[in-house]
Amino acid sequence: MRPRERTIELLRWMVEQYSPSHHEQTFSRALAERLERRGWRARVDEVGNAIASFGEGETCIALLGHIDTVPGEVPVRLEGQRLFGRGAVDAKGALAAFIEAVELLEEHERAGKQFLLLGCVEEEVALTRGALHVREHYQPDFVINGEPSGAHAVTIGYKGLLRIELEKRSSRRHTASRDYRAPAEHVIEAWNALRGYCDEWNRERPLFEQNLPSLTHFDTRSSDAEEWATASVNVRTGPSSDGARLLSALASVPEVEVRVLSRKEAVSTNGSDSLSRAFKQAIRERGARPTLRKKTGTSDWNTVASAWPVPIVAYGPGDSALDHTPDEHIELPEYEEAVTVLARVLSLLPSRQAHSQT
Amino acid sequence: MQPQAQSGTVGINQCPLCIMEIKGDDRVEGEVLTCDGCSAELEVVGVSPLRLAEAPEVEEDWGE
Repeated sequence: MRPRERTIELLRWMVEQYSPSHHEQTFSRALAERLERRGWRARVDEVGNAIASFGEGETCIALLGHIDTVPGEVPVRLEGQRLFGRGAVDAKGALAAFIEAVELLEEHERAGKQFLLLGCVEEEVALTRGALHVREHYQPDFVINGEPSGAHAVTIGYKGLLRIELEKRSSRRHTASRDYRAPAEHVIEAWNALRGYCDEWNRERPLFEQNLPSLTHFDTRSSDAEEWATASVNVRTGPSSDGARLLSALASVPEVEVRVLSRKEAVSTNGSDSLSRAFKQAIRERGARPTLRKKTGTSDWNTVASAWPVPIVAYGPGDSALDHTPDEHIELPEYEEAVTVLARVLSLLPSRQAHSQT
Repeated sequence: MQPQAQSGTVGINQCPLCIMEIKGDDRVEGEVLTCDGCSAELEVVGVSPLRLAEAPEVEEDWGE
C-alpha cells in the first residue's frame, strides 16, 4: 500500500455537491468526469448512476455506494477535525473512501482484480432504482456496500422491510344506524391484529430477529356515496420472519383489503466469509477489536442480495446516528482510518488468478 | 484516529481467557470458534502458531 498524503479535497468536493434523491444528475456527471481525470474508466449509465472501474482483473470487487442524499442542505464547513455537510456520513464518506483506498494500492495488490465503483441513484427513496439497475448488469465476486459503520466496525446485516397498504371501503351510512362501524374501525382492528402478532413473535427474540411494525399514515375520507379509510404500514423484519404469517394476521380482519407495496428480505452474514474475515484482519492490524453490527434499517444490500450470491458486507466511516440529521458531520481522523482499513481489505481479498496458482 | 493498543490478550495455542489448550491445524484467519473450557467465542488471528483473541462483539444498532 502506498503512503497516503492526508487530504479532504475529494470528500469535501463530494459533500459540496448537493444531490438529494431524484436530483443527482449534475453530481453524477461531475463525479464521472473527475474519476476519469484520476485514471478510472467512468460513465453515467442509463438511470443516472455514476459507474467507474479501475483495473482489468477477472475478480470483480464491487464498491456499491449511493450518490443521493436525503433532502435538507447542511452548510458545508470544517470545524476543527469535523467536516459538516449533507451526505458527509450517509454516504459520500464511504464513497470517497472507496475511491481513495483503491488508488492507494500498489500494482501487485491490484493484480487480478477489477474494482467496480457503483454510485447509485435513489437509495434514499423506496424504489432504489439505481441498485435495481446495477444488479441486472454486473456479477461481482465480492461486494462492499458503502454505508456508515464506523472505521473499526463492519455491518453484517440489515433487517428487511415489508410495506403494506390497508383499505376499507363501504357504502355511506348514517352513523346512528344499527351495527354501524366506521371504515376506520376495521382498519384499526387489522392494525391491532398485526401488532398483536408481532408482540407475540418478538417475545424473547433479539432485536434483529423481531418484527417491528409502524403505522406511518392513516386517512379517512368520504364521498356522497362512499366512505373509506386507508393506512400505510411498514414492518421491519428479521431473517426468520414469516411474511405469510404476517399477512395472515391482517387477513383475520377480512373486511380490510391488504396490498403489499414492496418487500425486501433481511440480509446478513455470520462474519465467517472471506470478505468479513479480511475486514476483521484489517481492523485488528490497526490495533482495534472489530465490532460486527446488525442494523434495523435497510440499504442497497437488501436490493442486490438476491441477484448476487457472493460475500457482502457494509462498511464506511461515520456515525450512522448522524444520518439524515441537521448535524451530519464526519470526523476526519476516522475518515482517514477507514481509507487505510479499506485499502488493506482490498489488498487482502483473493483474486481468481491467485487461487488458480495455489 | 490512530492505531490503538490491541484490546484484550492473545492466546497462543490456548484460550486467552481461560488458558485452555486449543489445537487446530486447519484453521483460517478470521475463523470464529468456541472455547470448550469457558464457552467464549474466539477468533483466529494467526496460524502457525495458532493465535486466538476474543471474537468481535456483535451489536444490534437502530438505524441504517
